[in-house]
Amino acid sequence: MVKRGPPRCLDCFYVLAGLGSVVCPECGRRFDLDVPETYTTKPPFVRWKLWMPGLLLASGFGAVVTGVTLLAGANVGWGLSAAMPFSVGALLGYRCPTRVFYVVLLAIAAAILAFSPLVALHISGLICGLVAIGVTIVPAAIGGFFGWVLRRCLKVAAYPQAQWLPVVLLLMLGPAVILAESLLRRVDPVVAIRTSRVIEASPAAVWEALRFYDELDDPPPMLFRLGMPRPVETTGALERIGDEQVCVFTTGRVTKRLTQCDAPRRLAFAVTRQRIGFERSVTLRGGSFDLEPVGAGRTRVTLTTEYDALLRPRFMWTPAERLIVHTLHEYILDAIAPGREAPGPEAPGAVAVAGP
Amino acid sequence: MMRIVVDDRWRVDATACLDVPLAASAVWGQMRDLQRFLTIDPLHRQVRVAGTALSTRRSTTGAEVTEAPIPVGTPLVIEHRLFGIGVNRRSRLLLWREGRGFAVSDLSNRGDHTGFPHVCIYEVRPLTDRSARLTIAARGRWTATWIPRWLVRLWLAWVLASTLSNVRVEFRRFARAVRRRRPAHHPRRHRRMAC
Repeated sequence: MVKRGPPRCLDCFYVLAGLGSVVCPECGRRFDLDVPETYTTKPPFVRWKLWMPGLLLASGFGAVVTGVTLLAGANVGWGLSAAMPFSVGALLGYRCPTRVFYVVLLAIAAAILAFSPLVALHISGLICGLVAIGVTIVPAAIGGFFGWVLRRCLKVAAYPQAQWLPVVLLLMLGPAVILAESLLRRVDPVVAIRTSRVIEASPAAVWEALRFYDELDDPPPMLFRLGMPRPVETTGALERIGDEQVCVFTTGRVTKRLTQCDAPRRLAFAVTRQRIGFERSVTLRGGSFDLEPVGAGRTRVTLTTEYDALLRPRFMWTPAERLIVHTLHEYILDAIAPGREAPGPEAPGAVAVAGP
Repeated sequence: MMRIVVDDRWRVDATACLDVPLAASAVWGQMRDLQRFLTIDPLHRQVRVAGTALSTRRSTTGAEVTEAPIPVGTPLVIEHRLFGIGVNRRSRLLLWREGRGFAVSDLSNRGDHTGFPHVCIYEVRPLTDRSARLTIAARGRWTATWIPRWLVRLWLAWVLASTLSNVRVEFRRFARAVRRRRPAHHPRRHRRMAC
């Protein structure tokens, strides 16, 4: 915090208090202590000293705590999603004596800096890292504003421990919430996301197309090219109840077992094994295709994906999860739409992206 | 250069010198802000004038400015903090030589003969017209004699080294601020810090 001090020369910052003359002895500039425009009471400083230490403290602290927590095997919950970014933002707001607008900007920058190493160190994938950054920006900005208000209030109140005590408390906030959360018993909710589309084809034609959709090799959407697991090949076929199919991805594999096959109305499967890199975020349970005739030559296809949602708080992560699953569903619906040619046997399964 | 002596009677003489590529008058111009300059010591968080306030005046706009440097003998309170923990110690301005330096005492509130009573001396003298030597010294008696001497020396070395580092940063920052502030034609605008 910049404290007011004795009068200083405007040119050379020489301390002018107690001089017998009205001329700066160092540079010769005239001054008059009755005219504030002729001197300054601010000591010389460089601007980055105002914000850089706070930014480094906040983002470094955030990166270390988040990295250690995830490497220790903890799930992403209120602590990592909300308390830590809030704590990082509040630290910044408290340690950076600058305008509230810049504080909020710096808090957002700190959230990005704190979570970027997770992507760089392959603790999290690119998409998950980007989503995490997006999710944490809001609490970081709120924390920045809170820190700014706290600093101003304690400054007005002349609180004697204002230098360290709030900083220590803010540093403890995130880890304390993470620790408390790890001690509490948690129940992961089952989430089902559905996407429907009316396709200009009979149920029988759509059912036939379903048999081939795993083998299309269209380029996946941009969202999936940014770091989501990409399919390499599919082994096995889902023809009878109990059949298993292994979808091999760039980051691992998923095993599906057919649980219901009611042609041409419903195809459902369960995911029996998942080792694909985002086990910390979701546990896939299964999926289904429901076909419903809606007039002559038209079929409503409904894709359903079920999973255990491991990320907390739900209201922060649900939009991102819905976006990703709906994008995947749309991609599959594009693939099974009629008028597409089934590929030859040499084309590897391209769309078996963990089911619907 | 740094010299630390803890003799067999636990008298401490710790001295450090730093050559600063600035005119002695410019260095002294910063040292005159005694309350700020004393906080260059890593353990000194804040220096306050105890009891009576300094002589101040109000300018025409109502801003309060210090009229004179702190008179010799003024009691001070030096807040000592390390990672937020510490005590307030009492002090007094012992010596003020305009353009040369000053000295302050640093005593424990529990008494004059406990808690490492010492005197801090800050002195500047010109080497050339563009460089000066700043000498920082602490002289007193170490009272916690159960601590091994080598550890005392190590502690004092850390404090002095940190102080020198802070002085370097402070004057580098000062030189940068002055360069930015001065008009382009100013003769001292392009003098760069290299300490």
